[in-house]
Amino acid sequence: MAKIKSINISGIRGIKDPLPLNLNNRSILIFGENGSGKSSLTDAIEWYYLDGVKHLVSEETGVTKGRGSLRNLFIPESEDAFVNIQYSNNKLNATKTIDSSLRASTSNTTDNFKDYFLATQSENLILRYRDLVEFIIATPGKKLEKLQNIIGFSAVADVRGLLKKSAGRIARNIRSSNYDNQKNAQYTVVLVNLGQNAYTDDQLFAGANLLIKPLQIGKDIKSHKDIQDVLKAIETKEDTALLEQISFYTKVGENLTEIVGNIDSIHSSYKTFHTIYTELRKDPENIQRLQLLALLKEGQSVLKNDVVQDDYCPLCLQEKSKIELIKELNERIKELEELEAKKDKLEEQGQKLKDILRVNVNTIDGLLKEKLFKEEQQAGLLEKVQQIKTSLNAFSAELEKESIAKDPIQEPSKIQIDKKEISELAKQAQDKAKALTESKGSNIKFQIYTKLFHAVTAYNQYQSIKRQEEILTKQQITFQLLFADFIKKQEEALNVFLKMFSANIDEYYTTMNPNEKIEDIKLVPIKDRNDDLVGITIEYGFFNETKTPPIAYLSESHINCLGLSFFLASVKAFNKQSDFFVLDDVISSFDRPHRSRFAKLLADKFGDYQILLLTHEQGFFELVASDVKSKGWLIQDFKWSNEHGVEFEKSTTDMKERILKKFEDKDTDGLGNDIRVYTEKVMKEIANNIEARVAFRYNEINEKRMAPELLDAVHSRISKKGNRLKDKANIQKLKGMPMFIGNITSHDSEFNESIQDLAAIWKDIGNTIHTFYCDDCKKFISIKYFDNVENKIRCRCGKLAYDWKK
Amino acid sequence: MSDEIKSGKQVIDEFFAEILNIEGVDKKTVEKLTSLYSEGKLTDTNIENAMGQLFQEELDTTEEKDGKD
Repeated sequence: MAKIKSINISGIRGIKDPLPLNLNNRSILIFGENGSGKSSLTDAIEWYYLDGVKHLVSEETGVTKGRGSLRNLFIPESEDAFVNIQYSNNKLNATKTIDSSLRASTSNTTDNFKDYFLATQSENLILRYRDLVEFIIATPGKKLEKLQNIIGFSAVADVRGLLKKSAGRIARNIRSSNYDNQKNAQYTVVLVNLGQNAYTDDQLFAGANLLIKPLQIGKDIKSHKDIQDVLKAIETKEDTALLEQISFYTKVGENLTEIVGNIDSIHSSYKTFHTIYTELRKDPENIQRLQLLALLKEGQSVLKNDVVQDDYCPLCLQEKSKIELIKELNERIKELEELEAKKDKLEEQGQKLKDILRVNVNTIDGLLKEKLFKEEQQAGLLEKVQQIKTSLNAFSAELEKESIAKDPIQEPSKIQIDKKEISELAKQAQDKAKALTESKGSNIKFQIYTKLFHAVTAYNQYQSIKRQEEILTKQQITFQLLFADFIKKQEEALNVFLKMFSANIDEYYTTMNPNEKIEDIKLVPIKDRNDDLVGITIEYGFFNETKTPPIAYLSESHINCLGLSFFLASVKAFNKQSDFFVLDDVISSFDRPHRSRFAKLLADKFGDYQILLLTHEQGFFELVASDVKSKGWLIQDFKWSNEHGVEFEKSTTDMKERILKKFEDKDTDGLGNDIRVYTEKVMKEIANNIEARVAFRYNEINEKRMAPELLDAVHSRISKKGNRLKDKANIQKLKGMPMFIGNITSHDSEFNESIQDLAAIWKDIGNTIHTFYCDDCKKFISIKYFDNVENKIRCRCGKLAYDWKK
Repeated sequence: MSDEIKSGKQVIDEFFAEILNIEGVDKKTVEKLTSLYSEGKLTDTNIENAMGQLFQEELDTTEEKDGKD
């Protein structure tokens, strides 16, 4: 399992100059205001692993998978953008670069890295807010597809599909070949010529012996070879032409009998096709609406891929909750998919009929190749046989018609093959063959030869057809048995997985939502009427009733919570190579208690993982920061500047060091501003700890509290709570300092104080800060450590304490 | 039912390893399929072709046998 030792990114998205992040296998909490470019880090990691950035795909055309928007706009063309990752396993260290023509390459070409990289493709490394609900709101079919993909079951589904398809194809072959009909046609010829039944060799030999008896040739037929010997012995060369004619009529009789045997099946198949077709056309809008399916699916994809980020409909531009919109789309898609299933059934029925027609047309085509059809005297018969082909083709033409065509296909009663006429034609051919055979009444040898020849030929045909049917049936049964066994194995494996996976989702969800009436969350397989696995749905107990799907009953934040639980369960289940994951702004819709429980869940259940947790929410940042600092997490702020792109904001420790260095160097350049920024940061923390109230501000404005406002708030709070602290802190003195007079527009303005003045200011500020800070436990005093008995506000260790009125 | 979580590959491998033990299956059909799987050629077209070939081989064998007596 690999963790990240360091990442260095350059020239990717908002990151212009190299941005080295030394993690040393530790988790990190990153804060950055909106637009600070923290998601550039996520984009860079996504590109590194997946060679594209999903949310950028919508911003460009072509097949670049978002790479077109990947490079920072301000880096020179000659410069490669890159992501370098050093891992806990240094054999995996690699740099992936992308040049200005979007050609990407990776430095590590070892098998170790290739194996690792391949394995990561089914891991869950990144979760963004926009992807939170992707699985939860997906259709059951998509849920199954997604899960099967990530657990490597897509190959299982493929094998299952192959087995099913093969069994179906062989069954269709058997059906369309209508072996019973073919056998009957041959059997009739055997019966007519042999004068008795012959299903077995012994019956054939017995019949043949009876047939040749009048010839008294002294031969007892006991084998097929004996029959051939007899035929050879009684063959008369001068009657070849007559024999050809008899064979011709025999074949016509056989083939037409076969076709007659298929006519009922053609008619009934067409009738079924017509019924489904008519049902579909009953409501013409149905078919029209079906054409919307692709559009709706595209819309679904647009919403899921977050092309539209706000709550409005991308088509009509009206305001609408995105989740509501996806829900409605899912319902419409489901309805249309049911309609599409009917259309598929129509196509399946059409295919079945096409198969039967094809076999019969082939039979006619084979017959039409008979050379006697070229003789003038056969013109009438030729025309009738061609007419049969035309009738068969008429059905095929109906099947080709579009279901949305203006004119419907023909009624079954209007398109018929004249069975009676073909039967008569077959009978006439058989009678003709018989008459020709008997035309040489005096030549008994000729008659016996002809009858034996045709009986044996038909018998062999009969056996061959029987054998073909047996072989195909054997194959079909085998595929059916394999399919049934495979389904059993697949379902067993899937159920074991779903059980474990569901238990994890349930655990994470209920940890974040304790004491709520949602319990026993499960992923449940869905089967269709043929018992085929077609999807997965999410079930859960809600006030002791089983409910599904979640989108119908849960609020947006609960759905997000479920999405987060799904991701975390996926991490546990599938991340076998990478011991880290990235969470990019995933808690936006959570209230404070949920955020707190989420932070605890990460710390308690994912303590072994390296987490890169990004947020733009100061409150969440502070909440998590206080919990995870002691667990060895790194804390980092991002900011963005025109000059450097994304860069790290100095922490208060770094800033303090910088200030001290400037004093040492007697460098006043920007020193006043540094002191102001440092004081603002510390005052924010003090104000937060003592619950000093400031006026309400929206979002990021809240994060840009100026020092005067913070100083006022802290002063006001401690004035009410205890004189000792108020006097010692002497906030009023700080308020008169030049860098704290002004407003947000004075940020970054120049201060012209001398180094001595600044040193005096710095000393006073230090004294004030020290009033709140304990050197022993390195903590500020806080309401968190309030002593209820003594009525004192304390630091964590209790060495620094002040009276604090309740 | 074992409670071990299996990968998709494990499920398929196990199926092909035990395929001949399934009661009632045709040995030759199964052997063709197993051979395609082990060669990494288990596709719809390859199965269709293999089954067509097997069909013809079996038909030819029967006809040869019939011609011998």
